[in-house]
Amino acid sequence: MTVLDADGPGSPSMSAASRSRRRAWRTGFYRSGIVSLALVFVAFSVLPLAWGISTALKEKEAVYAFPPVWIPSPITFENFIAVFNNAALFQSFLNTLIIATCTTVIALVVGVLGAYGFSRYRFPGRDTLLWSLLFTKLFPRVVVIVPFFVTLRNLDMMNTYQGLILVYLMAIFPVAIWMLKGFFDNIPVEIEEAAVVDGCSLPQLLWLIVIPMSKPALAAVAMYSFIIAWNEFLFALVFTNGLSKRPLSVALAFFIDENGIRWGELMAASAVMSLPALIVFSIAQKALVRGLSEGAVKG
Amino acid sequence: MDDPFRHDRRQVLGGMLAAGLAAAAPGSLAAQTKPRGTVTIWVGSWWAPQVPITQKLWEADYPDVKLAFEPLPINGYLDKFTTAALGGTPPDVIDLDSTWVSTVAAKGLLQKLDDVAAKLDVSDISQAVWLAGRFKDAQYAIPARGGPEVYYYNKTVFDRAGVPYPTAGWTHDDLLQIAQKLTIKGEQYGIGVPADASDPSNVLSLFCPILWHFGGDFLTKDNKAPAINTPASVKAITYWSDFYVKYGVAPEGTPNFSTTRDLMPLFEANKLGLISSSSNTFDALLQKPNVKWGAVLSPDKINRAGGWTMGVPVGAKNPDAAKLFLAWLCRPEIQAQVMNRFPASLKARKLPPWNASKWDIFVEAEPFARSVPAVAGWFEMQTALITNLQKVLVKQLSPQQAADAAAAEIKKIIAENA
Amino acid sequence: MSLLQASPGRLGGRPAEAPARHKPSWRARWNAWAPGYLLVLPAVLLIALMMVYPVVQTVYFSVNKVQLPSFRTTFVGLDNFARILSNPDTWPLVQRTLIWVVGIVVCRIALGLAAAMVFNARVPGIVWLRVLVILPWTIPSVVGANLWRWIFQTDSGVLNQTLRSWGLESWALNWLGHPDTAMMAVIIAYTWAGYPFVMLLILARMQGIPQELYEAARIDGANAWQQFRYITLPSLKAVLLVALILEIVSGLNSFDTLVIMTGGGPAKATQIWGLEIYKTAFTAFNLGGASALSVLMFIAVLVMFVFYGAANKAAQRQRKEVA
Repeated sequence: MTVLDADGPGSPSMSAASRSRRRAWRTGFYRSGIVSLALVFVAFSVLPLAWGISTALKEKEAVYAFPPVWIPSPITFENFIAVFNNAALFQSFLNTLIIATCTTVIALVVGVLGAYGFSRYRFPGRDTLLWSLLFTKLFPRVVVIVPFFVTLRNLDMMNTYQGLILVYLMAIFPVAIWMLKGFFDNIPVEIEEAAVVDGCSLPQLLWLIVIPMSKPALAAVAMYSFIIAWNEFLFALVFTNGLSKRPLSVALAFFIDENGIRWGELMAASAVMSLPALIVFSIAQKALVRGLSEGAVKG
Repeated sequence: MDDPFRHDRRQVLGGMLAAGLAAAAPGSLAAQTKPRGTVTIWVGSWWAPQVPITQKLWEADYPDVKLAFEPLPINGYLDKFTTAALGGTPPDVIDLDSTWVSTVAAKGLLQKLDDVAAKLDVSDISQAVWLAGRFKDAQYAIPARGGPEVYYYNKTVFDRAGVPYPTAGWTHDDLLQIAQKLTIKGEQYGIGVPADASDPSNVLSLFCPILWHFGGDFLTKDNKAPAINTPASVKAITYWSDFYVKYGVAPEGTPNFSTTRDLMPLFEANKLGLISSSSNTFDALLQKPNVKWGAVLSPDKINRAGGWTMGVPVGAKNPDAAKLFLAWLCRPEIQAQVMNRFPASLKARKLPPWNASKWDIFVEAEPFARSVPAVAGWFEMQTALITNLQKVLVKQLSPQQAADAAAAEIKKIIAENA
Repeated sequence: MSLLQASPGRLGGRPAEAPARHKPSWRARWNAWAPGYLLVLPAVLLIALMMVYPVVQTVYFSVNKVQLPSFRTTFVGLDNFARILSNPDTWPLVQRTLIWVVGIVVCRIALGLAAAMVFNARVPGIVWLRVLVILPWTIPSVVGANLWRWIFQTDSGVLNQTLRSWGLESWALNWLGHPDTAMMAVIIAYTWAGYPFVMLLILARMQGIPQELYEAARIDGANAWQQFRYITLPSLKAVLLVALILEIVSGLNSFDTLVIMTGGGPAKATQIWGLEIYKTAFTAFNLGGASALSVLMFIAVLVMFVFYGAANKAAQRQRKEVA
């Protein structure tokens, strides 16, 4: 749709046949234009990673070869095999999966409730609260990290999943509330009012009307929180000890040691470990695509 | 809205206060009782393969105390330690790069280890690294890993330019000439000059020996004033920066190059003739059979002592057992077996596997190794220096101007830490 | 009971829609507020649990000299601020920070918006390309920053080598090794890591724009640009504002990418406010100074938003008067 939508306004004077022929030609032209633009973005996103992954397929001696080689020969899978045989890495992967999933779910719950409250209700202190949420994000990790450390220790949450989930929530839920609030503000209030007249309670209202209508925004928030929890390094390093709770980003940092970067292993591990995030995206995509256009707004 | 906030604030501030008190409490309350429990030890990631053997040897000697090692990645290593120390729950033992000790000790994060030092045979420990662990006449860290630095040369690069390999006894004049002869612009470069602000230790490895060779220094003898802008120091800065600025014998990207991430790859790709580094590079190169290389004592022999030293943080839960561990690790027969990096104990170097002839060069380099000054605020000083050295490389300042600017900043840092 | 029973009167209670005939009783007002409070309670609890202490400590430290490790404080008033403001390096730092923040905000939002437009099109297969575009976002910054550093490397980096092999010798710049290009290079790397998020944000909002609006516009003969200008862009205003705020905040605070790529060099060319805070706290161990830097940043952003709010209100009033 919008600028890039396929079917423009057809001229009424044209015959139906020529119009459809012309439309087919324009559609083809338009599609190839879109796809080539899309490929430019894909290239920008993927080429740096492709370089890294090509490195992971090279033998150690070939990593720093001049001139650079994109398609290695011979191709070796030893780095990838090493990743699959690395039990510690797998443990880190599970840790991160648990942390990222829980963070995302909690952030969504807190976010939906908060955003709906801020969007639909007026109460004293509302604006102050809303802005102070956002301004908490202005405090650099560097200055909050020692207080966070002390708080987590006092809560007995050092080196636990809960501890990391809590600190990531602090980074995520203000954003979640702001993003969702912006979205809720745009949902016509009349639907909810009608539902309330029909005797809908607040939880029903949220579950049956607001959430199904907000899938795209929820998907965006979910991806945001999943990725923050997936990638964060400093908190992950400081608030965990030992293998049992070590998150993935920290585990990957072990491939960068005092003798340099073990590119082959690092990129093989990064590539394999980013697959689940991609799967999450692919699922969330559907919510993004369907979204409101098929949702309750039309009905 | 106010009520829960206030309640919470009081609770948390109370927690902070308690943590502060705990951190301030003196460590050795139970000096007489026999050490028990667990010693948590934070070390660099290269320790990981050595943990089982260390624990096994330790258990034979001290079955009542457990060693819990936490190998950590070098990224964020110090950030993690600092946060834990300030948060009041540091480990019992922390492994520190020798250039970090004075800064960390000056901030009160480390306990004095004079009682451990008194029991040790100090003459057995590499002098340069030992001194790096001393701050204001007290010992704050005990070295386990020594690291005199040598030059590594790439034989392929030398052969391609038809230059004979350097030999012990070469001088800084020779170094410049060789670097010039090796350089074929865009093809290969004579010498790697690390200058990356994100990796200060690498920068110092090459810069320090040059500075000292020309008779310059960072600070005056009493550590009370900067000496980085004396004529001798400026001459050294000029010599160092001219590799890049005047002669173009260092790679083009030099102002942002570190040894590990940029120069080593160039060296491995046979694009770089010479780099200066410690014994861990020796290990790394041994694993690269396709690179033809050799090692030689630094020009005029002078070199910077690297190395890692172990300290006991203020607030450690088990300081007595921690000190016991430090003393134990200094036993030559233990250190020789436990370390997978060049040991700091001179006697350990005479035991296998360190008595193999390939390590001889580091034994020879040892007497000529020096450490950077162990003073408060060293981190800030080295940052100030490296920033100004970079300004010379990118031609914003002359060596004299950069030296004066660095001296002014160092003077301020000295005053603030006095 | 009334907490769970939303009533239409309270929903969307914009002041204009609910003109009060007489002043409601306290109880009635509380009943109107209660569901709102209840809904935002989890958020408030989280803030109270985690953020109050850090914020109080930061503000407190900013007016104190903090001694480690016991956090013994000596009140120094505005000394920490005075030091920062009188430091000749501060103004260049502000300039670089502005360049950095404007750079990443413009690049991320422009690319994110453009990508969202492209990937919003209904073309077969585009969904899969969209997954690929999001890839950079799944890479931890420790890995991404090192990867870009390697790619940008002047002598052996794949970028320069490729340019040279194409005969574009003069394009093969000393990316991270020269102050003039280093900032651009780190902005590119940082944009890469973050623009997929902006794209998703905008994409999510675009899905919510009713198709009917475009159909109606087309019937009225609006061209593509007019549709974008008068339908798409106004609908995206709120989400763009959120993206803008988030990116400004993330830009001001960022340090990890820079620590790995340049350490703030060469010659301080990429030293920005967030990195300065990091170095002040973890290199100089000066928590008072780091807190003061944070508070200054906070005030600057606050002032910016107050101005924005005022300008926004003024603009709205003007629009109303015109109408």
